[in-house]
This record gives sequence, structure tokens and C-alpha cells, in this order.
Amino acid sequence: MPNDSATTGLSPQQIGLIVAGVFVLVSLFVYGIGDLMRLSIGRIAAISSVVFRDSIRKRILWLAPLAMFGVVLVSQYQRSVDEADSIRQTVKFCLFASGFLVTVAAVLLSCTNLSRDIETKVIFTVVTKPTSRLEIALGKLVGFARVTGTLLIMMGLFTLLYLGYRTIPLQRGIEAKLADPTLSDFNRQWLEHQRKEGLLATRVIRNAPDFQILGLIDPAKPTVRYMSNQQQLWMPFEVTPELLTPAGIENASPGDAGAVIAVRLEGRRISETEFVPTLPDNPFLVDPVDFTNRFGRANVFVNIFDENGSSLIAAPQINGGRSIFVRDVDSLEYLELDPAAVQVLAQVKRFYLVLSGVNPNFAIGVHPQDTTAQTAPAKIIIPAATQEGVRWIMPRTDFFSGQPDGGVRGGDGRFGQQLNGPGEQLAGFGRYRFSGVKPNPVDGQVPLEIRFAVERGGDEDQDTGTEALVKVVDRSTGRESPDQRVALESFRTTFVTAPAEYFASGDFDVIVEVISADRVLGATSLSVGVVESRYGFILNLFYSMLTQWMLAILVSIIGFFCSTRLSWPIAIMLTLALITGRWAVNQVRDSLQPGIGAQVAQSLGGDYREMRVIANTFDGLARLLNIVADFLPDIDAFSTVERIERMVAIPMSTLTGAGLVLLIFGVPLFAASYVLLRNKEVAP
Amino acid sequence: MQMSLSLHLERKSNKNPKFEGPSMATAVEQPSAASPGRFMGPTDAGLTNPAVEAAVHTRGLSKLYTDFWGRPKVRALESLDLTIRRGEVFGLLGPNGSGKSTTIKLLLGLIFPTAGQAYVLGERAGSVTINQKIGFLPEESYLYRFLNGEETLHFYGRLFKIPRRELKKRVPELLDTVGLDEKARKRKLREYSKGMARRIGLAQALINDPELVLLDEPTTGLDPIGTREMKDLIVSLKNQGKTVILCSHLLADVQDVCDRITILFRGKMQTLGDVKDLCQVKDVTQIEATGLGPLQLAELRAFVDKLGAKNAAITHPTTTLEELFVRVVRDNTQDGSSYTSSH
Ligand SMILES: Nc1ncnc2c1ncn2[C@@H]1O[C@H](COP(=O)(O)OP(=O)(O)OP(=O)(O)O)[C@@H](O)[C@H]1O
Ligand SMILES: [Mg+2]
Repeated sequence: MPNDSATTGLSPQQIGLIVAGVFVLVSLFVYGIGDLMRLSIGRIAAISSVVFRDSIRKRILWLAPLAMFGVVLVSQYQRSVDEADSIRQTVKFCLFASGFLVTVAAVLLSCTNLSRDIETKVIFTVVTKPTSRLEIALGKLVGFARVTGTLLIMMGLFTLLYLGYRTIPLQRGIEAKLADPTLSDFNRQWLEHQRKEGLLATRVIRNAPDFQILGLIDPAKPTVRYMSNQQQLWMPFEVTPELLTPAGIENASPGDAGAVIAVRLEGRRISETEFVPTLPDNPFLVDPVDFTNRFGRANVFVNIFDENGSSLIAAPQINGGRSIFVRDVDSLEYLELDPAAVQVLAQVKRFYLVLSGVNPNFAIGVHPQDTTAQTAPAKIIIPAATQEGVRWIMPRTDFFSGQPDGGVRGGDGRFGQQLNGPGEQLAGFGRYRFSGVKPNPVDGQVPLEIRFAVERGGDEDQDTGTEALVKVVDRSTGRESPDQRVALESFRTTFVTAPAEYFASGDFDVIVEVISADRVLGATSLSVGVVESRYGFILNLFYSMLTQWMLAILVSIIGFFCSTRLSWPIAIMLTLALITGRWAVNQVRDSLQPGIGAQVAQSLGGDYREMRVIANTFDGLARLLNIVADFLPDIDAFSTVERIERMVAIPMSTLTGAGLVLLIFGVPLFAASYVLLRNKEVAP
Repeated sequence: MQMSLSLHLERKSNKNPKFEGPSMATAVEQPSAASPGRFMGPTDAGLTNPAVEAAVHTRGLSKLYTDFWGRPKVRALESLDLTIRRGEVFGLLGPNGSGKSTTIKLLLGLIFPTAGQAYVLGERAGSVTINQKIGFLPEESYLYRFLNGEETLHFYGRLFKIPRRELKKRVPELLDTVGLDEKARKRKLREYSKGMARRIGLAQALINDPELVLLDEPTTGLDPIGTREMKDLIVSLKNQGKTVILCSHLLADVQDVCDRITILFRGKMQTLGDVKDLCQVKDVTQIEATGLGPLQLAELRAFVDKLGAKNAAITHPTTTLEELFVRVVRDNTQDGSSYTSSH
């Protein structure tokens, strides 16, 4: 019921896709059917050969040795932590160089080739032969693809040879280091892994879709998510102004009667230390009083955040800035929400109810599987004139399915969510929940790769490493693997293994607990990976080159499209804008969320109706920009550098995703180029 | 000693060679239907369905060049009605900027008409299929300069889907025909002289053994021998039954090879007709005689009066095409404006 997107039929993207599909059908199979029927491979090959010859004459292929020289030069000056890092950096340079090279070549070729043919009027002697414009367009594109493909083959071979050449001394360096008895634990672990696997080993890594940082894990209650005072519980809501308007009152606006938030939580004592009440850093919060004993009680503050984690509602507007006390195992608590706050929610439509605990002695548990209105962990109640008119708004459904969008999160850190080690409070648990992942064991063990940021050390003494316990819990049986002690270093991968039996069911949790006192890790969902399988670096490199080639082809199509009507300098600029447009909007997307209107309106003030106009205007503008960006190709789909650099296998889905983007944007643009070209007077 | 005398007697001063009725001194009246001058002639060239039968047929063909914003810039061709029969050599004449190249580009679909239609070999101008039977030599040789002569011909041959084996035979033949020697064939077009570029351009136009050949100023840049060879080639094309459309400023050559011509001026057709007819001057009589010594010359007037000359041949004299051309242009620029300036 609180979902209004279900009522709107098709999204703009879907409509765009349909329009593009119809356009392709009409332009190629109706308008261009004649040209399509007499399409000749021979002519396309002839035209593409000339493009290729031209690029050879222009020494475009010479760019490849130039790029190689650059890579060699840069890697002479690279600074690396160790051998694997050195290889990683080299791989990164090589791929960056080839990607850059091939994209630039594609832009230059595709934007200038046709205009030059028209400028030199060579096109006169080509179109007066039985060559259709379709063949010209295809021939040119095939030619560009041949040039970029050749460049990529050259770069790929170079990458392989150069990496092979570089690994030899590095491999020797590893042996030498391992012979040193004073080697630290972390480094020995790491180097032995490198020696065993080789520096170019590539593997398929799976990450957990459901990642939460919990304050407590109780094997007896596996579905309950517990947070301590170090974590927050995020519950997503989606509302409409109508839902927030009290029923049965004439001319009522959203929030006219305020709202009541009901939370159903479990308070559970986890330690007994003297409780000195401290407040979260917010001047509007009211001191939590009302202690019944010296350990305090389970105080919980409620906040309302937007999707970016900024606070939407001032603290005094939620329960007067007071915390609530979770009384017992199954207590239902109520908070008042100010009318003004409800008005803001009506603007924002999507927001999070965020609960944070204050008292380190207590874990607060939520039962997200309780989905009925009576038992839900949270709901917003909108008062009405009559008993029947009262509305209960439930959290968004994805909260219940354990998606990462809602649930227990660590505090906001610089490098992700904070996973704290023991200190004044108990250590938290990073829980990575895998479903349907069946890794291939090596010698009865499944390799895990763990890579956290170490945000804060308790003391600045570097000699004491950061240590964590890692274990695997088979959810089908509830059995836990023995704790593995691992040494961690910031942003460096630690390799551990766990017995294959705990992974057999495919549904398992990997649980990480920091044991070094006062250490805080920055955790993301990518911090723990399970090695599903492994394969050769060459294949990975090939896949990476293939996606770069697909990007080059897409760029060529865009460039060719631009050059059918524009002079080459403008075509180049427009091509660059079209390629990078979506990426650029993504950079500022945070401030283009639907909430922006409400934020602007709130900062400007005014009555509800004025605010609504302002909010809608800004939301509209933001939406427009977002929609425009959505119609531009997503070049992130072609990015493989990060994966291949980490020696992580490029999954098929990356290839198909890249192919799909190429298809969705390339084919309609190609059809448009054809139509433009056929209606173009080629005489300048 | 053979002596030849030509005597032109102009009955009255008239720079317009419009037909003025029977001439006084006419002994032999030419049985021609067409008259020279500003006569638009039967544009259908006697064909019942010219759009299909003719090599080229245009109706009201006009071209207005516009700028980027669509504002009119130059009216390059105005309402051209033209029919060119299959198998004839047709000359498209006119001063610089009169719309000759524009006409050819329209016939080839390189540009699109603003009004009117054009049919080439029975199909709409610019249709891709008809290009199979067309050979085109542009004003300048617009070719890929990074290919050599042979590669160029192979490239264009592949566009016609001529089999490789066939090309291997035809390319050297063609290069021989246009007079490019072994050395020149292997050199990049970038290094070609103007005349050599012209020759390879011609070879490219003939690679498909076309039915219709459009030659836009084929002799520019050619040496005298090359010019001569070009003329011979055009005649031989005509003998093979091909249609040739020729744009040229070398009027003597046009006069030699063309069956019919039209003179365009400022985008309008001024003259159309048989070269023979157009070059006759009907109000002038020409007497040619041999065997007249210096003494007899003094008595020439008397001879003429008495019609007593030996071996006298009395015909209408032919002017050169050049004179006709100059006349047409001069008539149209009486306002004193530059003859090439656009309007
Ligand atoms: N692309 C163009 N844009 C604007 N005007 C043009 C264009 N091409 C030709 N013109 C104009 O059209 C007119 C006819 O040009 P056209 O090239 O047909 O002349 P031409 O008879 O071939 O002359 P020439 O003997 O010099 O080759 C000229 O006034 C020319 O300036
Ligand atoms: Mg011209």
C-alpha cells in the first residue's frame, strides 16, 4: 500500500527503450529495407580496409608502442609495497594505457574519418558507386573496430609479455624474503600465499549481498539482528503525502495531526559496567534520565535520515528530543512526531528511521521477520478523525528480505561502516551472509580473502598488529567452523581458508570479529570475499580487452553519429560529452536525489504550500537531469581495470552487461547515423 | 600552289544569329529543323516516355543552395528540362559557376534537388542500383591519396563486386588505356601530378564498363596528347554505344566530339541543340574557291556579282562554338554585371 511507483506504468527508460527499438525496426527494416537486402560483405570489407589503411598511414598504430613505452617508463618509477602490489600496479598501468589509447583512437577516428572524406570529396567517388549509405556506415564502423581491435591485440600481447618479464625477479624476491626469519606474521602469511599461487593467479570472488555489522550474535536466535551502542538500525520507509494526511478531516494537509512512531524492540543486557550517560553529539537531545539501576537501561534514540544518511528532522521534533527506553524482551514503545516533521516526510517520500542505542550494556534486538502490522519492528501511525481512519505505515518490504538497504549498520566511518574491536564496549561482528554460493575447494579448503581498512588503532604503536577472528557458519546446520586468527593490515588482502564442509550447503555466514583492543575497521560489503573458483590470467586479460573493445565500438558509433552532421571538432566534443555525461551526473547524483527539493524548501522556509512548490520545482529539475543521464550509456559497465588489477576474475555478467549497453545504445545510434547519412548531401 | 579563300559577307550587322528568313545569297538551303540561338527545342528529344527511355531526363530540376540555417544562398540551377538520348555524346557548357557541376551532382544524387525530378537510365537520380551502370569523373580527382594507382582501382572494383580474378585482368588494361605506366601504378596518389591524377580518375570512372559516363572537365590538367587521347576515348565510347555527358571549357574539343550541347548560364538553360545546327550561321553566305591568283583577287567583287567563279562552293558558314558561346554569354550580361557573378 505505501508504494506509489506501482501505479505508474512504464519508467522513462523503458519507454526510451521501446521508442529506440521501434526506431531501429522502422529505420532499418522499413526505410532501409532496400539497402539492407543488397548489403554486400565485399563492399563493407573494401570500405573498412581503406579505413584501416588510412589509420596505418596516419601512424595511429604507432600509438601502441608509444603507450607501451609509457607503461615501461611509469613502472620504472612505481612505488610498491611488495611483489604482488608491484604486479598489480603494472597490470593497472597496462590496462589503463590500452583503454585510454583505444578510446582516444576511437573518438579521433570516428569523428574525423567521414568529415575528411567529405572535405576531400573522396566521398563523391564512393557514393556514386553502387555503395549504399548503410554499407558506408557499416564499412566505416568495421574499419574503426579493426583499428581498435589491432591496437588492443598489440597492447594485450605487450601486457602479457611485460608481466611475464616482470614476475621473474619478483618471484625471486619473494623467495629471498621468506628466508628472512624476522618476517612479520602478516607478511609471511601473504608471501607464502603468493609463492603458492603465483603472482598472476586469478580467481572468481563472490561477495555477500547481505552485509551487516551486528552488536551481538545469538546462535539461539539466528534471525534476530542485535545492535549495540556502536551500531544503528536502519529501516527504510516509502510514503506519499496522501498516506500522511489524516483521514476524515476536510482540507487536511499531510502532518496536520502529526504522527506516532511505534517501535517493537528487544532490550538485552550484554555487559555490566557502570553506566555514565553520554549523549550522541546533538545539542537538541535531552539528557536520558530515569535510571532504575547503575547499569542504566536500554536507551534508544530515533532519527530520520534521507538516503544519503543526512538527518531530515531536527531532534526536538521527534519525541521532543528524548530517547525511549526499551523495557523488556518484547516491548512496544511510542514516539511522537511533530506535524512539521511529517510535512518534510511528505516531501521526501523515501527516508530511513534510524535507531541508535546509547548504553553499551545493552544490545537492542529487532525481529525483522515479523511482518504483520501488530508485530512489525517499526511502523508510523497517522491519527485520523475516526478509529477506522487511522493508518499504519510499514517499513519497505526490502527491509524484511534482509537486503543491505536496511538492517544494522556500523557507524559511519571514513572507509565504510565501522567494525569496532573490544574497548569500553563489546566488539562488534561483521556478518557476511552468502546464499547459493558453492565454492570449489582446493585441498578440502575454501580460500577467503579479507581486506579491511584499519581506521583507528588504540595506540599509535605500529608493532602491535590488528587481529581478527574469522569463522564460517553453515546456516543449514548451524555448525560453526573453528575461529581462525588472522593478521590484518589496512587495505591489504589477507588470505585465509576454512574447511570446505561449512560451505557445502551454499548458504553460510562469514563472521569477522576484531580482537585487538580499541581497533576500528572500515568495512564494506566487499571486505570479505569467498574464492569460488580460479582460472588463468590470460583469459581474464582477454575478457578485459574484449570489454575495452566493446567500449571502443560504442564510442566509434557515437563519434560517427556525431560526425554525420557536425564538423569534427564539435563532433569530438559532443562525443566526449555523451560518453562521460552519465558518469558526470553520477558524480553529483548524491545531491540530485528526490530529497533535494524538500531540503531546499526547508532551508528557504514558508508555509506548506509554498514549500511544496519549491520542493517540486527542485525535484523536477533533479529528476530531469537524472533522466537525461539515464539515457546516456553507462561506461562503468565497461570498466574491468579494478577487477583485473585485483586479479579477480571478470565475470561473464560484466561481458554481457557491456554487450547490453553496446546493444542498447549502439544499435539505435547506428540506425540514426544511417538515416542521417542517407538524407545528407555529401557535397560540401 | 593551292590557294583557298574564304569570304564572309554579312548582309547586315546582327550579333544575334536568330533565324531571319531566307537569306539573299542562299543557293543551298540547309534542311535542318533546329534553329540556332535562344531556342529551347523539343526537350523530350522525340521520345515518347523519356523518363524511362532516355539516358538522362530532368523536369523542372532546380537547386537552391542554403546556408546552415536554411536561408537561401545561391540559386545554382533553375528549372532545368533536359533529355539526353542513349548513345549520344552530350556537352554541358557554360561559364564558371553556371551550374554544370551542380547538374551532374544532382544527377548522381550527391545533392538533392530543391524542386523537380531527374531520371537517369530510367531510374530516379541517386538510386544506388543505377550506379552500377554509371561512371563518374569529378571536376577534380577525389580519391584516397594514400592508395597507389592499382590499389585505387581494386578498391573501386570491389565496390562494384567485380571478382578478384576479373579485376586482375581489367586493372592493368585500364591503366594502359589511360596511359599510366608501370612505375606510376605503384606510386601513391599523393605523389601524382595533376594530369596523372586525372588519368587515374578516368580509369576509376571506367572500371565498371559503364553505360553512362559523366565527365566533369576531363581534360583539365592533361597535356595536349592526353587531351587528344581523351577525345579519342570519348569517340570510342560513343562507338561502343555508351552515353557520354561532358562538361568542358575547351569548346573546340566539345565541337569535335559532341553530338548535342546545351549552354547553361546562371543556372538557366540558354541553348540546346545539335552542334552542327548551332554552329551554322544562316544569314551569312560563304564562298570557297581555289585557283584564284593575285590578279583575280582584284576582280573578286565582279566574280561574286556575276557568279562566275570556278569550283565555287556556296554554303552557310559555320562559326566556331566559341563564338556562339561568347555571344550567348554577352547577350545575358548586357546589364554590365560580371558574367560569373551569381544572382
Ligand atoms: N555547396 C555549395 N554551396 C553554395 N553554393 C554553391 C555550392 N556549390 C556550388 N555553389 C554555387 O552554385 C553555382 C553553380 O556552381 P557549379 O559548381 O555548378 O558551377 P560550374 O558550372 O560547375 O562552374 P565551373 O565551370 O567553374 O566548374 C555557383 O554560383 C556556385 O558558387
Ligand atoms: Mg564545375
